[in-house]
Amino acid sequence: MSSLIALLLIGGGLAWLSERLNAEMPARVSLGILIVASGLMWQLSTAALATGPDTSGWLAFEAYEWIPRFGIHFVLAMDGMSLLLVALTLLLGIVAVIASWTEITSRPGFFQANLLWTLAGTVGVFLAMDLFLFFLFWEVMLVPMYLLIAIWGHEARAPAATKFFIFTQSSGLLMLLAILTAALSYAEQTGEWSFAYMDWLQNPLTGSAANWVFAGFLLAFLVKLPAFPVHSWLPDAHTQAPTAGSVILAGVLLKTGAYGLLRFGVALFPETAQDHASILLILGVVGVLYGAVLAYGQTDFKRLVAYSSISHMGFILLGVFAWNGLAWSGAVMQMVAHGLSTAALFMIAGALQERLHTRALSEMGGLWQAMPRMGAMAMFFVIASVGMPGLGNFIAEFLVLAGLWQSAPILCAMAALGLITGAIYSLWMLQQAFHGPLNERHATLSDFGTRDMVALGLLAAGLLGLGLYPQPALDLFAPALDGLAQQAGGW
Amino acid sequence: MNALILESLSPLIAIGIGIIVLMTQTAIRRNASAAAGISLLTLLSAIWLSFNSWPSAAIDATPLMVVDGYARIFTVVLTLAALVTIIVSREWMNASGLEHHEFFMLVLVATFGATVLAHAQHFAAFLLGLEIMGVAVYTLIAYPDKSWLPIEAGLKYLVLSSASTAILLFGFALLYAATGVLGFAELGARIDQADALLTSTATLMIFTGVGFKLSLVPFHMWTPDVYEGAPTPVTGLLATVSKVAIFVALLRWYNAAQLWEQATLTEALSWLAIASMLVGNFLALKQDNLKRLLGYSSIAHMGYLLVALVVLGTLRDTEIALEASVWYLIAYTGSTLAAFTALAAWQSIQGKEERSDRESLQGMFWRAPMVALLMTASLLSLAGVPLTAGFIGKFYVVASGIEAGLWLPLGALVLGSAVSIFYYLRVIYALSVNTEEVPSSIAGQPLLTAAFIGLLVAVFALGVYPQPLIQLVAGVL
Repeated sequence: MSSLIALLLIGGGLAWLSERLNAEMPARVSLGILIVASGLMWQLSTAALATGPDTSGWLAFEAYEWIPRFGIHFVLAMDGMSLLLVALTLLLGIVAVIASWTEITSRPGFFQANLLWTLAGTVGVFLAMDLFLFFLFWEVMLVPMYLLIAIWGHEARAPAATKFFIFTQSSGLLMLLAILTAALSYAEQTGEWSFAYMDWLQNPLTGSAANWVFAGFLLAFLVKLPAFPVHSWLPDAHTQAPTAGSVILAGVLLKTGAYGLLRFGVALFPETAQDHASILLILGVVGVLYGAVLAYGQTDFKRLVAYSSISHMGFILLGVFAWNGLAWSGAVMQMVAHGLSTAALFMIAGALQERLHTRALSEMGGLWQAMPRMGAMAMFFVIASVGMPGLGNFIAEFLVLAGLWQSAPILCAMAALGLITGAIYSLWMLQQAFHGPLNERHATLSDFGTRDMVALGLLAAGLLGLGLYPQPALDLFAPALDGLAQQAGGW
Repeated sequence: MNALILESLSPLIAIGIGIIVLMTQTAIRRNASAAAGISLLTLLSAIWLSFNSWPSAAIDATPLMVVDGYARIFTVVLTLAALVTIIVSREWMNASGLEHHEFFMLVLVATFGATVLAHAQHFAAFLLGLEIMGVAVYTLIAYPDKSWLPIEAGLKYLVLSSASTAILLFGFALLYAATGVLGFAELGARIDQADALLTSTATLMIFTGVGFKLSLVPFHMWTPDVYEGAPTPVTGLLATVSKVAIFVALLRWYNAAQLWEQATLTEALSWLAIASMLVGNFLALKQDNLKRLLGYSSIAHMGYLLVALVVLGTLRDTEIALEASVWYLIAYTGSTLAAFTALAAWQSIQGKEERSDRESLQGMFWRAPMVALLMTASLLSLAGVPLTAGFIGKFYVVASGIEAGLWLPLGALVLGSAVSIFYYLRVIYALSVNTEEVPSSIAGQPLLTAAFIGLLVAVFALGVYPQPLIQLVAGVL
């Protein structure tokens, strides 16, 4: 696993250097690195799945001593949930590189380097099981992402990039405070420093300290998710980022917040989390509905997709705090399904902007006639994100709602309204952009080529697979969620 | 004075000899390159001697100075900082067409004063070191560039510094009146029997004087003006060597004299820290000039450092607060020096008049990637982003603050850091703005390139693998 992260980090450097050969090299190098990384991941996971989990439930485990003064170790561990998310990260990485193939013309080397470094940080977040290391990766994925937005973004990139960084960094600082407080109370209990997840699980924090520490973690995760009312960085950052940046941001970076909630929020503070579940459920419902209403009000294709993310991520928050196995598997499913469908929509938004030089829906219309392939793809992914049965998003949202029904029926009914509003704004967007009379200026636009179709085809296949036969994926992360349930003391 | 003591003081003696050689050389044959070469050799030999005669236990070299691992670590840090300053200022002089032979000698004098401060265990040595360093720094600010801004800055620093030294001296006198001794450890032993009013007044006066030099709020007014007015390499020296050396001496006194016995002092320090963190960071927001911005941010950084001192005051004898202070000082020196080095190199590349507003930094990423990389690394380190030395420093301070339960200062620290990210990022953003101009680089200047690589490695290596230095620091405390 450490070689996977190292490969991405070094690959970033290589991609940067390859710019000297010619301007197309960085994207090729970057794609090559990601394919090698995927191969490595494939080998790692098949080997791990063949041998099965070890006694503490990890499929793969690595630990090295790092800063003994504070008992900090370099610990990477993988279970089914991390495996799925790392695989998602690598897949979307490939999609992002393809999306940037023709879009990025200035400084392509540094662009690909930042892209790979962001991915390295994200993979690290999904694998780190030492809280210090986790925090480190959490912050490390920010800086290159900031640069991606700030250098290659669209017209209002500077404020968007800064807003993104400040929101995530300052909530991250509070999380650092929380991590240190927890580490210190661990040190007081046991006489030794440790930041290891497994150690903390055995000595859970109690009392009022647990409340504060939980709050620190929660804030960082909610900002990243993002949940209402700390979501306001998201529309700007997503809209202004270059296509590849939006794909990574929406596809995997948001998922780190959801992952953190499950892995650390729920497992380390089961009682505190459960005490506050009702407030968080309400925030989730507000997010689902508020995101949907705002999405409907947008006139910008990309911004509309960004707001729809807030709505869909609300389901993850609901799933986590509905506090039962059904809803949890729905939440994990939603991470993957939403990652795939939104990445595709952002890729389409980027392709539109590259061709039309605008994102305004009012400038579009009838594009299906000019670009039938793009139109068909857009329709597929819009329908997926609406939650059409047979596709991954349906399974995810259904599981969340089914789980939520058991714990909070009224909220469940309200959240279900989100499915209807989702259908309204998504279909409205599709209608505005691809149907109706074609503007003559747009008659000669070039359609998607093979490269783009392969990338979108991969995503579509993923969604279909998850939708038609979800059981293998559910089985993959079920042991991880069972472990979590034990930690949380059942339901 | 036996051989052991002589050997233990050898780094200081080496710098002293270097100063004398330089003075002679300047009198006989004026040549700036030779002067720079001699000062580099002097500093390198001082570093080599420091490692060569690393003391296994504290050695009392005269009642005034003590040679121990703590003093040695900072001798090396301060000497390295001076080394970088000399390399950078040589290039900077070449670019600006100024030839100053005495410049290098003055840097050595300032370093000498700073190292004396690092060894001081008596207020006489404290004062000597402070003044040797101060006089050299006033001159360095005002003399290389004879335009208005540096002279104004030099004068401002001279007047305020002298005033603060006077307050400091008054404090020493009161302490002496109360206890009859001036050695740090003896003071600690006698302070209980002395008149409490007298000693606490004296302590507060000393802290006021030191507060001026460290630019703690509310004694910070001079900082941005002097930072802006001084020649860039000198600003780097002022921001690192002079502040760090004073804090090093202060920390030794605080610890040896057990100043934590004075609860009001701890209370006062905690408010100074909070004010410095908030005022420094919020005022930095409004700055367009990078040198002024770094001036305000250094006020905030001194505030963070003070938090460690407050922890020491709250928890009393504790490893973590001392380790935190030492770490923070080292990280601060590295990152601040890196920022000023990058700025000075950039100004030399630009060649024209000395500009440091944000607009003049635009396009650095594409025109001089190496310089921009160092600048970005230093700013991220100052902002406390992980994988940099600054992060470990902040981590230490926060960890110690939590251990002492100082929630109010920690709140100010988090708020201040969040604000600080905004203004550091604005600079980084300016670096990345696309300008289509000819690329230029620092290639062909091997010494400067070496300094750059050294600083970059320091900022990242300490952030990625801090354990060796942690061990070293823990070993000497």
